Amino acid sequence: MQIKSQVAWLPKAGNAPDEYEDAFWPEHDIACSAQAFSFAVADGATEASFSGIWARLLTRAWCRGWFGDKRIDQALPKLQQEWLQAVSTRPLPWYAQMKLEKGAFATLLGLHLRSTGDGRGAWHAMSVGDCLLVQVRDGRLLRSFPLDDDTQFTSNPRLIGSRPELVGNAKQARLSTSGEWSAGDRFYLLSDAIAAWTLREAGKGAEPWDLLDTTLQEGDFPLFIRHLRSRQEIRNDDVTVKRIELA
Amino acid sequence: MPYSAEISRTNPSCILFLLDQSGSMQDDLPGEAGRKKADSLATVINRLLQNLVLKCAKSEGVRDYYHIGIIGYGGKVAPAFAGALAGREVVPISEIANSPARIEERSRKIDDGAGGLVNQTIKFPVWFDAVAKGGTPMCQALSTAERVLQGWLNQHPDCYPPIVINITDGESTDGNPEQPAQNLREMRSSDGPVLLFNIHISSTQSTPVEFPASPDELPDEYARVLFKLSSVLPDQMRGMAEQDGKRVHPGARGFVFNADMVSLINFLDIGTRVADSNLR
Repeated sequence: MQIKSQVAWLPKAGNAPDEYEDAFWPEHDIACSAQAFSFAVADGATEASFSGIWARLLTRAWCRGWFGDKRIDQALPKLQQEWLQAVSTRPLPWYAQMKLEKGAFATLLGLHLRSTGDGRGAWHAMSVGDCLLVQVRDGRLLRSFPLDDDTQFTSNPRLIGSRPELVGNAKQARLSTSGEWSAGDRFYLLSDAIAAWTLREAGKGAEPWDLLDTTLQEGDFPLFIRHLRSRQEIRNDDVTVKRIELA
Repeated sequence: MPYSAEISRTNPSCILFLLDQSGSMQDDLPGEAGRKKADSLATVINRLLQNLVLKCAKSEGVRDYYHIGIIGYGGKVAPAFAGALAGREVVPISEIANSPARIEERSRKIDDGAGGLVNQTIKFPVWFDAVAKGGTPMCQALSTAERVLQGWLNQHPDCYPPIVINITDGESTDGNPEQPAQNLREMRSSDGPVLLFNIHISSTQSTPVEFPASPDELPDEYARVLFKLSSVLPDQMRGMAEQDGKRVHPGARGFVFNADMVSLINFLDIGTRVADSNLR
């Protein structure tokens, strides 16, 4: 299958780029041919510290296949260790140490695509929390996962935590689904603020994916998001859009 | 819509505590011999400051979403931070984070997972020490708050309205506090009037009256005075209290009478948590 993917992102208004706590993998645009490929998006919880680092580790781990049933029991503790090492490189003030002990949290959405030949294939996805997968065919919404309505977004999504005792919670919170794709299909992996906007627009009969495509193509994603924020059409939060097109 | 301003590093919010340090705060909490009201209040305030620091702590440091003041009133009315922050009226949360007067090691019992309890030592930063001496100059405390917030509002005219939380165990001894309280509640930012909440710490074992909507719900004249001093809870805070399982009717005041430590902690959580959804 021929895969093209682009990503656009923007931190919350009022925050600097290095304060952005979403993550995505791969971290660069893709244009290649492959039998199989994985993508992921994650959203680090603002209340926790070092959540951006945790979100990034999760997206990379998904794309390495670490979240399958057989592997997750070993994989998560390894990731948790890796996170702890990454954030413990220097002595920390008392509050940073306390925050560290509470751990980091993030939502995660992973998509794995594989080709079955002749411009067709299968996909499966896993979600913990409220990042959204959208599949579009011929301009129409074919699937959205794990939510299908913008009213379903809450301020308390399920999260994957970086503390060892939370492995069970993560396993319990996982949702999975699968489907098929055909050449020409588009997939979007969206973090929650832009996901809610997308579902709301789709619910009104609009085709928000076309707008997203235009902004990605024209390179004015930041302007587009600022416009939505100024009209209060989107919550002020980190925004991530990963677009995938298959041929 | 009032009380909807976003709280950010460039538009911080102010929380001012007025804490009764009168002689009666030396008394034990009702039904808890050996636990003085003043000591318990100090523990609650220090824990609250710790939680506010943690709320604002990010990977790169502590974000100054809040500026906090503590004014004690008893033998004198004065800022009550201890240590390096002594004498400071309002302090950004990052400075509070970096300047506890000391960090104590305190012991608490936790579940050992096998049906028993074990001692766990935790670090407990302290910014405020218990004091209990003198009368209850509440009017002077409220006037001091008015002066402090006048300066604050001049510098931050579009802030989420400052929240003043007055915690007392008795009646004012320097006059009727209604006028100074009204002066305080009439101050405003572009987002709405200053909020004045009152918590009365009980001296007897009684059921707390939380968030009353009418003075008729209150047992005595003094409670009704404090009721009149208290702002109506903004809708967002009322929603949070309801979410926590409280029945809070429209028009409910930010006021608890005969509070025990549990209702004090819950009230303080609601009164300071409101800013969470507004944090940018």
